[in-house]
Amino acid sequence: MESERRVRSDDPWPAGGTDTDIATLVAEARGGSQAAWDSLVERFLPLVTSLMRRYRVTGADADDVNQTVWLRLVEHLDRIDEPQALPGWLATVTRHECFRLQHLRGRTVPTDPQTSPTFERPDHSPDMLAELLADERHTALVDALLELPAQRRDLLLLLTEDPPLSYAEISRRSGLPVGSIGPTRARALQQLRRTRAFRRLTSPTDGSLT
Amino acid sequence: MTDLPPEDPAVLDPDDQQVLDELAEALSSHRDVEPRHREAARSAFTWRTVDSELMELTYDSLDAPVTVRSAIDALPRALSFASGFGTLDVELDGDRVRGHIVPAAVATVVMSNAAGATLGTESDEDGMFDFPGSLPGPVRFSIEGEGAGTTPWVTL
Repeated sequence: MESERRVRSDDPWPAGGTDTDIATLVAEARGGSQAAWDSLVERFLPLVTSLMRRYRVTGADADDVNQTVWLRLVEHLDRIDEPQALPGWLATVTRHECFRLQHLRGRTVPTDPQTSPTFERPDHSPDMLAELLADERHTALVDALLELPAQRRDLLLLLTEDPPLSYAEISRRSGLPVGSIGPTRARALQQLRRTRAFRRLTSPTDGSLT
Repeated sequence: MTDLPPEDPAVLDPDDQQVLDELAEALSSHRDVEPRHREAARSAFTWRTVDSELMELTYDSLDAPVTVRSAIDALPRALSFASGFGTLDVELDGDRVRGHIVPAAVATVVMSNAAGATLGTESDEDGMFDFPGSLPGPVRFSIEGEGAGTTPWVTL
């Protein structure tokens, strides 16, 4: 089938912009809104996934950790006083569940305390903060992307495919002549910078996010 | 910056390049999510229960400090939960899950998982109970009757 695969089918691009902040989503989820809950999942699942990957929890173990984390959040919903602290809470629960699972499996990871992911660090170590800041920035960028008109958003999605697409391929899929890709990209990025989500990003970490 | 970029799309303003790189990184973490993890995360919401008293996890043998792990590893997995009413201790013993309720009472104890499977058992006069097996995935325990409560989800 020769369909224009602009967005991967499993890419979750919730329709209708990103006006709702975390506090609103939490309040609506408390009221029983599955849609609000799903939006919270979209926002924070990449954080949970990246932590599990970092602690090398995979396969069925990752399924268990992931499920436990979200079930815990369901229980915890009514006790969230400060919705902005939610990413930190989720990260802490995920880390603890990863550690427990590693202990449960009797895994002894080679212990270089400088690098071992199982080395207990306080939850507000620079490491943890950097992780959360990067995640927050990533989330804001994705939110910013959602504020763009579909054509510009689709172009940026094509330009950020991994592995990268050729300009000929981008042209074919976007319907833009190769000569228009550069100018359209420039306008799309300019508009991205003017989105509310992007402007809310006050302090770029230091440009390097890895 | 006000000039239109040249027609060769490979020529890119460095600031634009940086934003694009960050965007690619942000998107890769969104694209990397396992669909079944998303599915599990979404359906976790169906387990929202507003009215049951949530017990607190007060002890988990897996949280013991790493330095004493070699001694701990020989012991069975043990968990303790507390509510305003009392405590619930659970111990994994091979395939069996044993436990006891304090204050001692005859009560129904139910183990359930997120797939909707449940196992039920009765505690005896001493508050001791014994499940002949376990359930796959994260589970939680509920005490019914006096001192009713539900534990957080745990992976046994």
